[in-house]
Amino acid sequence: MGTVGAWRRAHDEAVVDLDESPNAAAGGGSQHGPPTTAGTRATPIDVEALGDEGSSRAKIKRRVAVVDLEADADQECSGDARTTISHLIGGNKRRKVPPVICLSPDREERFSNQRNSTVRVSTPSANAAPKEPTFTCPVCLNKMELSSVTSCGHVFCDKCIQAAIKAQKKCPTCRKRLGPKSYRRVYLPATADQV
Amino acid sequence: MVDVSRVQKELTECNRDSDISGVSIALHDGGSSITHLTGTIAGPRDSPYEGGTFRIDIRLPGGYPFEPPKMQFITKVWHPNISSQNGAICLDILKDQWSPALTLKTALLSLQALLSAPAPDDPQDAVVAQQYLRDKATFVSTARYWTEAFAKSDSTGMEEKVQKLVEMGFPEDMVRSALKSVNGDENMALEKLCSG
Repeated sequence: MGTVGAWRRAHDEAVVDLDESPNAAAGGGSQHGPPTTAGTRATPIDVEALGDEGSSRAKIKRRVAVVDLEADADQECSGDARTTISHLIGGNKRRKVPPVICLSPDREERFSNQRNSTVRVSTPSANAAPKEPTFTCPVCLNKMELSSVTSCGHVFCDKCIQAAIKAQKKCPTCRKRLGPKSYRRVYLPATADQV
Repeated sequence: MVDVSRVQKELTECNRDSDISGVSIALHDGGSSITHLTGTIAGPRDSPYEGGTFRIDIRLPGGYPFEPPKMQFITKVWHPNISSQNGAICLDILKDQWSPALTLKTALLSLQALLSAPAPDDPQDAVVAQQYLRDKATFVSTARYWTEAFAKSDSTGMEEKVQKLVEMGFPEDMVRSALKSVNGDENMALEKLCSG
């Protein structure tokens, strides 16, 4: 949970930054100054917002309160947070989604629906992910070990095709003539339903 | 050495749908050797072998599945590609056309297909093949007679045996498959049912 909290805080700050620049641009400069000035101001104000302890702390406090509300749904929340984080690695767009929705309660409800659907989608994939795709070797009828492909394109265990070539010099599936070097290792991908 | 795990898998797989496929495999005479088996095939429909149950002796050589299984009819059968004397079979996949990707089940299914479609140009039994080519009607009636005489002999009174075993408390489908696998021997079927 420590990491989750840390992530939340960091995340909230990031949102504060994003909120800050348009607000500053709208309230501060845009009324009197030309748009270009507002544009140039955007950067210093951003830095200011980071430096200005008072305002950013206030924002953080507000955010924290929101997070506390969210924490009412205690267990559910922790579970969701974990799921969300796992989804968010590398997903910038998604990263913005949770706090925005958390701000208003009616949206939160929608969000929780969304979350539920996300959880439902993520659970099977999370279960399926560690499961290796299994292919059966047509020779030993066991799970394929060190899958190897022949020059005619048929796949067997390494030791099975080796033994088959030694015995018959033919492909077990299509009977094409094969020499001792007519096969090589092949690395099979995950099956389509796991993506 | 014989790949025991593969043979066990094959037996399970083959006997799972034996009602539909018409072929099944059991250890020979209820023995314990995995290299000596007995296959059973149902005579194919629309052939002179229809209604018969044919037993096949199966021996697995040490190199199995890289060497073909040795198969021979135990039940006497009148067919151009099967010896009427000793049941020896002339079928390419049991010789040079064997492949380790084939299984005992596919081999038995091939035998079933061979019963449906004799190949008299490559005979095992020259006398039968001659008859098949010159006098098809006589061939068919002889083959049918042999089926009646040898492939059904043990199945007379089958319903009574089934009835008797069902009354002992075994499910009917299990009784039928047990009787079928031991070619109608009531005592052996009972033994099989008791051993599970």
